[in-house]
Amino acid sequence: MIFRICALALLLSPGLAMAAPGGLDVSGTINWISDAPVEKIIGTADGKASLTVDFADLSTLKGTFTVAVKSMKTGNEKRDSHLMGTTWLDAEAHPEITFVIKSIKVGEAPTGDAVKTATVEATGDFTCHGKTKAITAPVTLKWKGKKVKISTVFEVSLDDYGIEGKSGIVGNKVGKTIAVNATFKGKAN
Amino acid sequence: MRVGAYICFALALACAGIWVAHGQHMATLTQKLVTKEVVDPEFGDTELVKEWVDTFEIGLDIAGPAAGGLVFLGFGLLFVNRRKKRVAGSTAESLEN
Repeated sequence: MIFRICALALLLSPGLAMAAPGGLDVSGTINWISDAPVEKIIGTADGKASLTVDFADLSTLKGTFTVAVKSMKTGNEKRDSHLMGTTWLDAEAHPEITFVIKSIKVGEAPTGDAVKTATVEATGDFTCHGKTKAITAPVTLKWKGKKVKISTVFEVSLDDYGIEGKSGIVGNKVGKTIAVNATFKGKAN
Repeated sequence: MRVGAYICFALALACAGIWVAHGQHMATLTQKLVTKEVVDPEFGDTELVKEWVDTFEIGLDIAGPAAGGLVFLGFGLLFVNRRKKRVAGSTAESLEN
């Protein structure tokens, strides 16, 4: 009888069903901007992530975000092929850009009723062009039942990841830092 | 020939004008990101959705060499025209003498 009551409670309340750490599969688009004195390049990339989180305790958020380098687009095919080349991101040698969450700093308590919203600070290992560096980024989480939306904004310095490009291009036609804005959506498993 | 040179200069100016009108890109864009403000039906918040749409916005990679080539051709035509005139003048002079 107790088992039946518990099972019924879990079925009726998605919030309760997610109280235990659960898996999340999310995917989304990453928008990035290189703002240099000569040229502003706006691009996109496709990303996905496998995460685990207990929404009752957001500090349990763990997982890896992955972006396929070959999915990066700038609106000019020749420029895209240069971007994949050895002088830039070297897509053959380093096909993925990843961010592995190591720790989460939870700020204020989640707000909202039907849609819960919370902002946390995610610290983790950002790997690009074969080099890894610890970064911290603000992450906004929204969830409603089993549906989840994760968004973040941060900057990547090309110098930190050994991306030199052709001489004289970085800081002139390509920004020294790239502004990244990513939004992922998905469902809890 | 002189008219041809002026046409070349005009076309070079037109190339530069098209490049300016297309947004002064360094690289020619065959696709452009269009931002739309939409309400997320699942979460009810407003978000900016960006979509690639086909376009053709000429960049300096095409407009630059095209305009440069036309200016070069224009000056070439002027030079040939001037030379022809000089040769014609000197021939007429030698015939008179």
